[in-house]
Amino acid sequence: MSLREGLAEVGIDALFWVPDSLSAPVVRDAAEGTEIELMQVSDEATAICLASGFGLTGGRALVVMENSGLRRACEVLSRLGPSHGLYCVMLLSYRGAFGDRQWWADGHHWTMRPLLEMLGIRYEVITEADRLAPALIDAFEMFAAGQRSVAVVVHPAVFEVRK
Amino acid sequence: MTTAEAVETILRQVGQGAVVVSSLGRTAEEVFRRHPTALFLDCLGAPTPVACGVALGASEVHTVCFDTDGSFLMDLSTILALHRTIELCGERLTLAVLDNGILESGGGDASRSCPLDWTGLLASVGVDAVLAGSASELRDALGRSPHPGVIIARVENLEPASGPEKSTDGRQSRDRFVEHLLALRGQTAAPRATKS
Repeated sequence: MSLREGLAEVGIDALFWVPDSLSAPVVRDAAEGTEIELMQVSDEATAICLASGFGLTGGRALVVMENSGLRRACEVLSRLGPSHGLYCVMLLSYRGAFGDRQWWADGHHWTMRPLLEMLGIRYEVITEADRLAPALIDAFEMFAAGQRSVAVVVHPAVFEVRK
Repeated sequence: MTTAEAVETILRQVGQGAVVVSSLGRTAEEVFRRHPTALFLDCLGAPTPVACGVALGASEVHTVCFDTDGSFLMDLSTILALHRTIELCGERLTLAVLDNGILESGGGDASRSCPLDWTGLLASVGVDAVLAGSASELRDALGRSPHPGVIIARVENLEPASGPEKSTDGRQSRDRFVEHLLALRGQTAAPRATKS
């Protein structure tokens, strides 16, 4: 099942998206020609807020961003979840995964898991393309439980397969 | 115009049948007195983008957002999303930024260190903003056609802000907001973004 099929299976209404080099081609292809509102934003905190508001209405929104976006969005994730019970679902591209050649990406790996744990975000790291859509479905089931935000962390190999 | 007058004017004109998102501090207290089912956000920078998300998701109702200058300025990246939201939602979103020029809840210092051209700032991304310095100007702005994307309501409060009096916390506010949205929709079951 492709990301496009996964988004359809979940019934995604809107993608709030901060493009990054790993996910951009895949996400663009997945949303093209569908009724999904693909809204590009310029800061991850904004994307989290948009998705949290959208989710409050019963709509299904997915935030797509690089894992470094967690750091940009720490303040809103720390406030909206614990203080307000406002959550969202994220698809994070995994920069700094084992084997990443980019020198600047190591810090993304270094900080990602501690931040996810500290912020109380449930997550799964997927390394196989076939797991992408099922993980999204699972993520929205957990989101529907209304206890916390949920993230699907996508290994670069998955995006490579989908290119 | 005081914050109370601005909130009263806006809610009287466009609050009926609307869902409301509010910033914190004095603004939240004034909104709570008049519209207790608003979503009160204790997070600077969040009210406008959260309200945009609500407006995008709740296409059958009107969304009113009370943001404040200090909060709005904390996340200016929102103006890009605001442009798209207004394209999609049009007059279903009323965004008022209550501009007192200070960070009142943060001690009263100025909210910016240089002159700010609100209309120019928002025009740079194609969003039409109207300045309102009095209740009558605010009423005119709210009734204007085409609907302004953002209303900057200049407020001045001579009385010190009272302490927090709202009787709800963030989660209670969320629940009351959702119940209000459900009532407007004529629904009884809470919306859950689940498949079935």
